Amino acid sequence: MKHPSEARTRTLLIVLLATLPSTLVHAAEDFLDLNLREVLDLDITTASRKPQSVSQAAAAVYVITAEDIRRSPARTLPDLLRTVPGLQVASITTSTWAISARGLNGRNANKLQVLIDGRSVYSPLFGGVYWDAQDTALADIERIEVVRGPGGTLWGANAFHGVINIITRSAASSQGTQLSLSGGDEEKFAATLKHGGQIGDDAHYRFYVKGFDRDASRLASTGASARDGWRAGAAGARLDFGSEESSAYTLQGDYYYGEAGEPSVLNLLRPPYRLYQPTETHYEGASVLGRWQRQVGESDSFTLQGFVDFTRRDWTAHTEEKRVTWDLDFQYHLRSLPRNDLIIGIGMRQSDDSYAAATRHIPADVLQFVQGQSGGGVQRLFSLFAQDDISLVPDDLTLTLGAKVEHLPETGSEISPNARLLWTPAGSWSIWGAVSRAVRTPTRVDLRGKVVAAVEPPASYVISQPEVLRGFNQIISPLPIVLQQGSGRVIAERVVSFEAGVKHRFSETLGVDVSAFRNEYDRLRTAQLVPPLCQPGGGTAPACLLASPPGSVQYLIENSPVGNRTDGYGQGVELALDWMPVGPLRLQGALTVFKSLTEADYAAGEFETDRDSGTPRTQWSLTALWNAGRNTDLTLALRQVDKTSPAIGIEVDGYTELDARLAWRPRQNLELALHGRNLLHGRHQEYASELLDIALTSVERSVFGQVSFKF
Amino acid sequence: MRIPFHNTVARMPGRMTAPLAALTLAVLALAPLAMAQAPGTRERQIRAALVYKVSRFVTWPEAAIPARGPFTFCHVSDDPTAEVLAGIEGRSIQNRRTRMRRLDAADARTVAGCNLLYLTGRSALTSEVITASVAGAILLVVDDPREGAEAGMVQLVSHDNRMSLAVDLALVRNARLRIDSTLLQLAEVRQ
Repeated sequence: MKHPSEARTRTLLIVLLATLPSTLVHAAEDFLDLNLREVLDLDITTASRKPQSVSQAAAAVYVITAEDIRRSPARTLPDLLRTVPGLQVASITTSTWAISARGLNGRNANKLQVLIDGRSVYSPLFGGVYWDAQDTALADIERIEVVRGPGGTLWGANAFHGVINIITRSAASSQGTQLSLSGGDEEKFAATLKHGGQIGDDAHYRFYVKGFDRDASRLASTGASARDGWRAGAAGARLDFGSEESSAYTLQGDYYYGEAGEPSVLNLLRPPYRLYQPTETHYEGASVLGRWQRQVGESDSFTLQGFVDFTRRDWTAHTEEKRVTWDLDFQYHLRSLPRNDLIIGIGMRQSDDSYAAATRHIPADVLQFVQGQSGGGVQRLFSLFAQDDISLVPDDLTLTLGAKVEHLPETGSEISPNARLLWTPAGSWSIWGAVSRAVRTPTRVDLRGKVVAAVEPPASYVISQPEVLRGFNQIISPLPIVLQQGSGRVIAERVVSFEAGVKHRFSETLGVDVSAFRNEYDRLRTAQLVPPLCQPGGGTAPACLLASPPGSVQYLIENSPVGNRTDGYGQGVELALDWMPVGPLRLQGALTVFKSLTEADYAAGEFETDRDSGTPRTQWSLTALWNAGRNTDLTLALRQVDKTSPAIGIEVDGYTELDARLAWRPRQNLELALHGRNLLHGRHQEYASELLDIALTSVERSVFGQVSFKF
Repeated sequence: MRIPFHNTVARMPGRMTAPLAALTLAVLALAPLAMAQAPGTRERQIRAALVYKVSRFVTWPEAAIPARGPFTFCHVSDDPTAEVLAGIEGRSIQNRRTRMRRLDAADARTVAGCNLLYLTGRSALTSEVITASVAGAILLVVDDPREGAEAGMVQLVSHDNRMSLAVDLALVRNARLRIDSTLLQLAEVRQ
């Protein structure tokens, strides 16, 4: 049987040769179709690469530019985010990551809002992001803005610890055709084809198609393949028409499909109780987004945006989820009041979902992770916000006051106010402070349904598979015990965040950005240990065991009610450095120092469901960008992450790793690049799923080549 | 794109290197030769785009532009710049088709009938031309004025490898022109 990648390559070669232009004409670029902001953002000399001027935002913002993405050794969105100060990115399998800002990370970390072109991509089931489904042509990304700290007003719900805003280029600025192909050991094969064109004077479009096949990683326990190979494809298109001076319209659509292996640990009520068996997740989705921006009078404008998002995810042994999300947002920007810059907005989101057991290729009696969610439901979220930038001293001191109200019919309304002060005494200094309150609205699982965390085997049983995690082995029981959470209800979690920061440009070649924060938490989610029940028969252990006929009780069930009884704090300092010691060399450094302590009422048997110890105390990265010659550049990214304990009983050592990219442009529109990732070690461990549903894997060293050309 | 799942523990796939190598050679042989750009072309293109964008945020008084006539874009420039500015010909400004007019020099006589006058490469701006522009509602755009020299209504300034704008609002108002605040937000306003 022919290796599937051969057939793929052949097809691509044919497509390529068919689309190569027969003439030798190369169209000159002009910028007449960009909008005003884009023209002001253009570098006059692309070779110079001077650092950005000091940001005017009263927040801890870090921007990954299109040029940073082009130079980066990373080829996935999560890997691109690794060098952002304050952001933690940890690989769990080839296709899953734990990503959060400022603590409380985990596979289902729910403290971060992630937006792609204004479309919110977190899942209302757990509140986390399925990073495998978030994909786009990297060359289409204009910038990624990472704001640490409660996003508060402007963005959608759940900007608890921060917001990641991925903004793609306008169609007008992604004209032409570009094809890139890569191949290597871990990144076995990847291809992206994108094209942008024009219709008449005022309309531009672009589309892309991409696909990849990534190799499996290795099990930490045995070194065998973790069977988590990942194959996926995505396509998208965008149409922009109208003009920025009167009315501008955007229509965007995306589709994705993927299959990702997972080295799963399954739960059973019979031996072996915890079974290691690789499974496969199939996911698919599509979305359509429309946006209308219009100037009103001389100085005002409004934006109306709506999107529909379909997803289907067959997550073996967890749940099979189908979901349709509708969202409509309206924002009005009022600039006509002197010294005030006011934005007010209103939004509504509705999510219809349905769930079923996901039993593909596993024993029929495996306990599903998500229980009690059969059938479906509808969830609605309403929000209202206002934010005013008040110029107290023109050009020097700006006060921002904002508030957002979020209403979830099941739990009521929550108000998130924030106040920020920005002082810019000179062009090279920017000093800011902020106080904000944010909430994390309850997810589907918080409100309805239960979760089976694990089955603990009876004390006498010896687990033979080395891949199975033994995190819960503090529980000693003569019978298997099912650990289930979910009776009771979780309402909104709260945080009050105190932040301050300084940005300073020492010279044309050195800039520093420091932020410090303290988060005070209230009402974080808890679960509570209660006396287990005997099944069948009922009654609480140990009394029910003694009272029942021997052998009649088959297992125990620990039915932990959930609530909001954790509080605590998180605090830290984040530093970003941008330095050009000599002309062709640029250094970007990031340092994060962090500590959190959240506690429930342990005496009452309560425990927090988000782990403090899953976030490292320190992490840093140093990226060197060297323009070795006119047509060659080298990027070296060194990064270090301190040790963590991502799940009960699991300790992961700290690690240091190096990624590199060497690129050569023999022609103006052809680039050959060699990428190396995780070069310092053959393999290393980064994280574990806090649900203990995945065997521990390690990330391997990876080398691959990429060829890109433009037409 | 449904690919059957199979358990592979693939190392550097030897089967991939040959096709990829062939692909690279094919591309190198067939790829269009790079059109070397004259030095400074990119900067001229950015300036041209900026003047064009600026014109889209300005409103001229009804009387200044003939009802069904073209929008007259005048400029004093060298050959490479004129070539770049030619791209604006035919585009729409103030809902009218743009007609480019290249002047050898700017004075009260030659600028008559212009709606926009772009002086490039630091061509000298005389007070005679300023008076004529204010009277004739001509938007006066200049490149990087020298210290102390006349600066016109809108200046294109390069700083820190980026272009930026400066606007002399009083002069703009005297010429009965109106600039959208969207543009003023992004420019340095000099009173």
